[in-house]
Amino acid sequence: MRLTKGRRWLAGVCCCMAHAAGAQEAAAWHPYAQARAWAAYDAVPVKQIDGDWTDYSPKSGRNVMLQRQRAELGVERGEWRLGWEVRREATLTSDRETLDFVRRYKQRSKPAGASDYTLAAHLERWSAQGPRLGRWFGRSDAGGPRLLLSGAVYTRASLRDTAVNGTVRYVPVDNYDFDVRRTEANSADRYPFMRQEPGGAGASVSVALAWQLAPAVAVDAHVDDVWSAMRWRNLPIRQDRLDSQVSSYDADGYINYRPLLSGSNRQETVRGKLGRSGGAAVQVDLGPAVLGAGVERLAGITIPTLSLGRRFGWGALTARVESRFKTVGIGIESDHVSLALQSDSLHVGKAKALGVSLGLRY
Amino acid sequence: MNRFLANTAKLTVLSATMLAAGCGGGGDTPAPAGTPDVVTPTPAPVAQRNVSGVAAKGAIKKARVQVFALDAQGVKGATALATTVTGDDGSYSFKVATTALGFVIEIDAASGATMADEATGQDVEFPADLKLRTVVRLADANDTAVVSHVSPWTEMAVKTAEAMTGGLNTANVAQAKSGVAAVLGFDAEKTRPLNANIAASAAGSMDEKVQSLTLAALSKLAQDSKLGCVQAGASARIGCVVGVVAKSASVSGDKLTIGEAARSELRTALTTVTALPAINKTGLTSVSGLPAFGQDSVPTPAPPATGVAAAKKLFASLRTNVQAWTDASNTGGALAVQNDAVHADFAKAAAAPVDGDLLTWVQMSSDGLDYLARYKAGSITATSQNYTFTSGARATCGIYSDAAATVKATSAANALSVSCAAQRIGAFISLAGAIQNNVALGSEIVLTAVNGTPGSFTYAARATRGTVVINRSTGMDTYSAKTTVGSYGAGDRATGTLAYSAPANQIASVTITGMMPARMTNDGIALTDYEMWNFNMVRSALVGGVYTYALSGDLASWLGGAAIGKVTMNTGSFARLLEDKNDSTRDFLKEVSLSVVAETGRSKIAGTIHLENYTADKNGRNVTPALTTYAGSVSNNGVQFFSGMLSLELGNYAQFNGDQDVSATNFAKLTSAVAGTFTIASRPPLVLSATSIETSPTAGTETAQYNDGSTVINASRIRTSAAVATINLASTDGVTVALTGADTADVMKDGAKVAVINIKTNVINYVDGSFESLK
Repeated sequence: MRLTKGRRWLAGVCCCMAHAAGAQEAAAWHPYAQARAWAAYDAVPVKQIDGDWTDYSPKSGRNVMLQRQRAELGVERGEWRLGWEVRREATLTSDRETLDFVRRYKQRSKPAGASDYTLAAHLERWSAQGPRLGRWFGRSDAGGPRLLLSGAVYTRASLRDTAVNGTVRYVPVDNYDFDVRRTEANSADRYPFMRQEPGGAGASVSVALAWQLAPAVAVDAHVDDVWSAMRWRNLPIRQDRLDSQVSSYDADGYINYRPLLSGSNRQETVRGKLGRSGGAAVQVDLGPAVLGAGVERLAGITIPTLSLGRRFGWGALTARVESRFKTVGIGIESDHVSLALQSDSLHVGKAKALGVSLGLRY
Repeated sequence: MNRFLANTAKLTVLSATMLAAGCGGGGDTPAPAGTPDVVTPTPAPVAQRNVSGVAAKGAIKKARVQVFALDAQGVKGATALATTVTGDDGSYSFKVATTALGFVIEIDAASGATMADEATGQDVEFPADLKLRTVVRLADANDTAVVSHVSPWTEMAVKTAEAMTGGLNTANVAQAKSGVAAVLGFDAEKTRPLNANIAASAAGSMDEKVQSLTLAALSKLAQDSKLGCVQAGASARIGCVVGVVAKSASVSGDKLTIGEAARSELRTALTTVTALPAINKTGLTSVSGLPAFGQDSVPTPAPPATGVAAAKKLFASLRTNVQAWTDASNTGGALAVQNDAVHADFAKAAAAPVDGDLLTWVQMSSDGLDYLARYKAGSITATSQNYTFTSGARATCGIYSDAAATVKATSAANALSVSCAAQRIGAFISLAGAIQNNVALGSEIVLTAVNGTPGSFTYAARATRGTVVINRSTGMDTYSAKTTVGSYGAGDRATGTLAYSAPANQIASVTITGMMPARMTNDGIALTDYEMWNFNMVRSALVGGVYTYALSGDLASWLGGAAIGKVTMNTGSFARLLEDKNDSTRDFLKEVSLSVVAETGRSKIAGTIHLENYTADKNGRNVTPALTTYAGSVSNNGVQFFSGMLSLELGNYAQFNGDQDVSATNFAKLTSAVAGTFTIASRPPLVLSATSIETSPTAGTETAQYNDGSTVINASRIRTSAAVATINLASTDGVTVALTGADTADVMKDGAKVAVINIKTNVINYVDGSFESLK
């Protein structure tokens, strides 16, 4: 039981994984609640994202900023579980050159000489909530693999998908030439003359595997949103262009000025899928200690993890290290409560990766 | 958790940063037995739209109003959609189906129909052969209420369209309306007509006031039997004038032209009625700067295909003109650049040889010579006289027996010269307790009679700089030693000759030829080395002690051996003074008119400056011209960038106490106007008419029209004491927007909202989903 719980935290990302052993218990109703929030930025500390980027340390090449929040409240009974979940995920992908320009803009600093920037960034953010129903397949006492298949129906779904591309040229002393284009689908956007109210709905299926390969060795795996279908109706889509080259001459040789900003709004019904994510972990029971290794994959990022747990009479204490964002975490777990924290810095204000999860079960 | 949610929003901010950038139905008769039931659909009630307006020449009473459908090709319906009669105030209203998006409103005679004749203040019979119309085109059926007025100006638009190939089709009507709006400076279909000769007109909007005066001008033309309208009765003459004027406009290509005979008569009549209190009770005292009938040809390009296109055209024109004309850094030059260049040449460099001290020299010389003549005639025996001039300078003149002005004359027989020295207080230097030090600016001249040539003198003059100690406790001014300002060569004096004639001891003419002293700043710094004058003044008496000083000649500034500025006063320039024979300080300047060509640096001004209606304020200590006008041109670098007129008019000045603070009850009403053509490189000439009228220290109205050759925009701004100013913009294509200080402003065209402006973000969103920034 304790091992299962420890394993749950170590595998940790998917709530679907949370109760691999839940079906072992009697056919009583067991309420549970889980919340998890995690953010990891390559370039700046999480808390400085809208500051002036004083502690700016980007990677060369592709930089990502990831955010995931998920909360679930529900009940379990036997192989079944039924809950209401709220999800919110965001991914911002950009490159070093773009981030360098943003930092200069935020710090109002000028390049030493003439400089060219090629901008490219893509933000994808969505949120949804709705009921999720899951069922475990396979016997927990047989030592074989067990599979949790769960499905969620989402309502009140929102989407923001923004792509920015363009060029900026700084010409000393104080001149900027720019031509930047943006395409943004944003269900929260409202604009004059918008005709229909946007809305969003969808469904998702996730699977999780729990396999006690040997008495002391267990494997967990999960794939979130292995199948999904989302539909955003009347989604506001905005395309705009910010172009500093506003002057032109007509056939008569007269100068004319175009607007600095121009674009268009429209509404479309958009169908799409949620990006799959998943992970796998193996854990070895070494008596009072539990050793684990795993890997998570989300938004194209692979996150290897090692963990070491220690059982006590009151519960378990687990330490964890992750190499992608170089975080260290600690988790504490008892029969009814689990809490885990992770960060890449003891100074929260300078942490570029932060995570917290809390679980309750009766 | 909240922090993480907030951070999601921050990611959003980051991405944004990268851009920050009836009728009943059914029958009563039962269906025959054995036949299936037939359900007759009940027609849905037809939605109705209320249309209201005012019919006016002056207000047209008890006239017939008929409304006919008008399709896109201009084909008029055979039967009236609605019929009614105008009320005693000319108003009418009727209902038509909301599906009727094109119709014509016609006003014609009915039993007892009359119209107001503002010129006589009487109502006259509405002519039986007169019909006034307007064509209404609506964008869609969304707006239920429509206001559409009928007047001779809407009839002018209809007649103009009728004369075009295709008649009253949609495009022709739009083009004709656009042209007429450009000619008038307001949209006659949307501007409520008022009678100018009733007190209530003073409460109208600027457009309403101007329209009321244009309508009154028609009555005036009829009263004066102009435009060939010589019928016996006022009614018939008015009908004739309206008919002639209405068909005086024509469209050719992308221009609307109004016949010059009609245009000039209309403009003249408009000016005339504005000056007649019996006809004009609007409160407008001048039509200077108002575009009505100011141009004989205005652009009226083919109307944009949609309301959105028309709105975009308006904002594109504003964007381009505002940026090109106001931002000096923009390619293509800017008015500011030209203005700064001229200002630098004339004001900063002050190289133009005319400034406030010019009058001092003239007055001092004139008074000195008069003094010498009186002394020699024996009517004055004192050898010293004090004077105060309109520039503020105080002078002392003395009579001497030698040319060097060192030996005082002792009798009329040995009086040879008069020496005058004037000083005025210049720039502030310091203040310690009650003792204040200022620069003292001086002018000195010695005039010596040329033997054997009566009325001829030589002169030696200089400009000086010193200091004056002002004791603020005692009021005593103490002047220190002076030094010469300027460079005059040998003798350290500017020399020349002065000739005058003074029959009956009255100066009749003065001619000054030669070098004159340098001009200087208020700090006493020389601006030039010296001046060269060839100046003539002829004084002649008018009635009531008023004298005219006819001025002509050349005044040139020299610096470093080169002429750097020159003013030529053309024949016709004059100043008029009401003179006090006993006290020159009580002389009263009544009018100045200078026809000048001024050249300095790379700038040139050629035109006539007219200052008139000199008026003293309530306490009598401040005198100022109540009307100042300039008509001419301004050039820089050989390129003329302004040609037209400027005017400043002060009303209520006699009731204004200049010694008291300006308040709601103590202010002078300033009316300023500009009308002319501005030109900069890379932009078509901009024809601008603008008027600003202050109604209180904190309230007023500004109206303007600009015409850049392809777009005509009328604008007005209304400032009130408490509220944010309201700005109304209207293109002659019929696009209107009112900026009231709210965060958003609707852009309307043909009764429908086609765009909305977000004032905070400066972004215009159009009904078709497109958007753009204002700038």
